[in-house]
Amino acid sequence: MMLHELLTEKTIQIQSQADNWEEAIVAASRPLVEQDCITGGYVAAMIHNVKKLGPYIVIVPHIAIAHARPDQGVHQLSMSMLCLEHPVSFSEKEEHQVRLVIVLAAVDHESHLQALSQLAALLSEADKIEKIMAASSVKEVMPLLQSLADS
Amino acid sequence: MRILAVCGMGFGSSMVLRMTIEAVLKETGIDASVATSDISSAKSERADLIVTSAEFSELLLGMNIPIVTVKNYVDRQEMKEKLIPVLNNKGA
Repeated sequence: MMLHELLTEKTIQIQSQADNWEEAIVAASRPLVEQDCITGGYVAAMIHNVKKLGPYIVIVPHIAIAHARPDQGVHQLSMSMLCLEHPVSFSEKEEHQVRLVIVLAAVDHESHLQALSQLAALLSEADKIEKIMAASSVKEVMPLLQSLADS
Repeated sequence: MRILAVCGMGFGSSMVLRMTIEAVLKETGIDASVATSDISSAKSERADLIVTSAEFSELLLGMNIPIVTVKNYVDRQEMKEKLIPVLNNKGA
C-alpha cells in the first residue's frame, strides 16, 4: 500500500487550530472513525499512550505520528493527516509545538511499512513539509505526496 | 553488532528510526543489524546499543549499554553525527 493511497482527499484535513493535543488527535482521527477504519477505542488508546509515555510521538520537530497497537481497534490499514495553521502543544519544548498530526493504524508488523517508509522520506524533505504546513487547501497537498521514493 | 531502535509501541516510530539507521549504515558501510522494540520489552532484548528519543532514554539507563537519543527520527545527518562515534567506539 502506497502513501498516496492512504493519505487522500478523504483522510487529509486542514484546520485552523485545536484546543489541545488530545483534541488534535481526535480531529485527526475523525475521517478514519467515520470510514470505520478504526474504532473510538483506538483513538482513546492513542491519547492514553501519550499520557502514559510522553510526547515521544513527535518524531520530527513539529510533527506527531499518533498510533496505538493493531489489537486496540484497527479494522483496516489506514492513515490520516491533520494540518494545523496554529500549533498545538504536546509539551513546553519548542520542538513539541505541533502543526502536523498523522494518525497511523496498522494491522500487523509488515503491511504498513511501504507507506511508512514513504512517509519517512516525505518528512525528511523540509521544503515539501513547509509547503504542506502552508497549504490552504487539501488539493495543494496531494501533489506533494506523489512520486515519493521508498526511503 | 546489534542496534535496537526503541519506541512506545514497536510499530510506528521505531520502524521509522530503523529506516534512518539502516540508511546511515549503508551510507557509511558499517556492518550492523537493526531490530525494533517497544519500551516495555526493550530490557529483555539483547543489543549492543540503543537508539531512541529523550523521553525513553531515562527509562533504559539500567541496561548498561550506550544509548543514542535523537530529536528528529528521519534526519540522517543527526543520526550519523550521534551514532557513528558510538559505533566506532564499539569497534564496528
